[in-house]
Amino acid sequence: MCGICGVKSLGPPPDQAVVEDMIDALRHRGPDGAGFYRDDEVALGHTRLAIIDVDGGAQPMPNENGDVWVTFNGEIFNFVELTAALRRRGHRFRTRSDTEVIVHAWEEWGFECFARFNGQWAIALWDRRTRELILSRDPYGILPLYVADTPDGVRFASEVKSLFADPAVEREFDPRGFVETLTFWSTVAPQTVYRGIEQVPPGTCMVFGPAGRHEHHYWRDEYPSQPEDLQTPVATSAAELRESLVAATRLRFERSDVPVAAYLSGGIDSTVIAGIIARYTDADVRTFSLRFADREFDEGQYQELASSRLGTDHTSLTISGSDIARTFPTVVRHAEVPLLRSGPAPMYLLAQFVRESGHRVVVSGEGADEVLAGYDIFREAAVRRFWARDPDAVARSSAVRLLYPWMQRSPGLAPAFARSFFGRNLDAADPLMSHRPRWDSTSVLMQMLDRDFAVSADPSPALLARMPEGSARWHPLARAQWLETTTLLPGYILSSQGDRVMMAAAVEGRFPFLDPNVARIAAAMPARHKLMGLDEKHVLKRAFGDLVPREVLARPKQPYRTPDASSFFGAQAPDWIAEVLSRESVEEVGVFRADVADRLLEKCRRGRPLGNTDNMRLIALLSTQLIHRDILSAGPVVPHLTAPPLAVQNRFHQMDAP
Amino acid sequence: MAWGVRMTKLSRILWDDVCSMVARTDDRDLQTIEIALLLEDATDTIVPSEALREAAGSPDPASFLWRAIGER
Repeated sequence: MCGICGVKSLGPPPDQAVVEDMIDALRHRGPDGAGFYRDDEVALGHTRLAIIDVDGGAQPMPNENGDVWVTFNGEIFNFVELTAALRRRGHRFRTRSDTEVIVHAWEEWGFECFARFNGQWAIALWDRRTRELILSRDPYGILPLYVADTPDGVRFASEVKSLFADPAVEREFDPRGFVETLTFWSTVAPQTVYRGIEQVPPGTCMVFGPAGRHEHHYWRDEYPSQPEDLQTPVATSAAELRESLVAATRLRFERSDVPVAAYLSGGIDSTVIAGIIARYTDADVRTFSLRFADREFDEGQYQELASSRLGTDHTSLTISGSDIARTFPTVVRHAEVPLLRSGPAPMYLLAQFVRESGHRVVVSGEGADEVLAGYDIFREAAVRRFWARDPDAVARSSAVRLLYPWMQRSPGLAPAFARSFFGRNLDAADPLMSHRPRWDSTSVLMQMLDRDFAVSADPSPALLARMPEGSARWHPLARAQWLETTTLLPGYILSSQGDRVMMAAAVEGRFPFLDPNVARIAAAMPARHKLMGLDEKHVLKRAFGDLVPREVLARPKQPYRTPDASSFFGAQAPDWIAEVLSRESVEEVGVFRADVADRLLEKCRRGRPLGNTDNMRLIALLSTQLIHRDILSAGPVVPHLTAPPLAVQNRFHQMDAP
Repeated sequence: MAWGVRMTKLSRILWDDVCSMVARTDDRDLQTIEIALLLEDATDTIVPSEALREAAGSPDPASFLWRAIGER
């Protein structure tokens, strides 16, 4: 993967120095080279992480006669098949890269080309024939793409810090972004936490041309609108899933000119992916995993079991709380958003470890929990739906004890609290019912906001208004899946815990569960095949029972968790904590109330374990303060912490328009 | 569509699903909840809460719930 940026000016030609600064801000994403294209109206920039056609894939890249240009971050995995189809239609190719497919596919099929791509991407196409700039993002938002649309033109980039390299772009928080983050755990595209900066929504093209601006949506998750299909046996769904996931994994493993490794977390999803590679390819499988010094979070025994059963060449990296605290400022600088969990920090360290081990591409099981209903929130919603059918029935309310068995204060151990917590808003007719408990418990954090930031009301009605037409006829599980893939997946899982921390180490992630064919099959199958009773990802277990060790299959679902507040206090607390959490600093930033921050800090210093809400408060406060210090208040170009400078003589290949 | 019609035509596939729930655990409380949840969601029908209590106390919650829901 790579970094992209550019400008479409409504006035004088784009300033080359500004575009170079924008490119420079992305060099950690593409340490193998950089380039730009410029004409009187548009400039396109690119930093390259070379993975396919290492020698011939430099960007930006034109079509045969130079009237369509592209700068592209990502992979079009089915480029071989598309190249053949386009050649048959008379297109001539100069390279064997997936990038060149994009310009020809655009010429041939227009907007329809994006639905033909099987991949992950952020694409900027400049069509000189129509003078339109097309910004496209993949169906699930694996790759980031930000836009600053101002009266003098539009700028776009893979990361916000690249937009901020242009002095014309304001650096200011947007209170609406905070209200969304402190409800949904992230903003929902196009919203960001920065005023005047948008994200291209997943599955969407933003088009900027002479007629103004418009959007084109090329992808939507299609769930069945009819009553649950009772005629298809789970074995049929399992066979379809297996065939599509094997194909998706092989495509992502084999379409690379550099070696591909795999993450192995000790759960079912990554074990299935590593197992497919071991069973269906001739390659030696190289796997990497995270372990934690704190046994509460460690899954080492399952990782070792899976790797030894699959015969992978396995290495793990053990993380302590002090590692999290040490790297947290770097991680926040890359994530560029307020975080509520420390989870991205270990993922960053793992990506760095993978890169140092000589790999630049990994496949992982990300996306399985969304498309196959693996998360606890789906079990929780099923239990609450069960209860809502007769709220007074003890036989129904007692089902909450089955939820979250891994929690220290699990509902099984505190049933009265659980009934009171999960029993709120038991309205089966509410399309957002599945996510209300999570959002309610997160939005408590809004009480921390300074008066100037607590400006907008509950953001959930706006999200409800965006639910697809016909979704009222979907199964409730499908509605919950839509909410999860619209909010947390692109905003946090694939971003703060995915692309941003992986690309900080110049490592590309590939996610077979988010292959469009896999996702379509999963969406179309009966809901109970995914969540059978309370058995999450039931169909996956049925489909790959022969590849996954029985102990891994049978273990209760364990979410990825990391030490939060405990990492930042105690004898090894880093110096920056006192600096960014001082009363003066909190007041200067002005997002959170200083009195609340003081009380929270005092609690942390006393060394008592914090509850879930206080943990989130602390991480939100720390990350916001760091963003202000290291991004909003940083110099003209937000400085790097990770990427070595590119050799100046090889740094740019410039392509000026004829 | 009346539930009885569905039961006649489709019972085998749904019954296989119920059996897979039974195989997951010997805990009859858990079996009761999972099977009731499965049947209610799949058929858009409600098992009387009274029947849920009785099912959990019966030696074979699956068959009990199957009959209970089939009679509705």
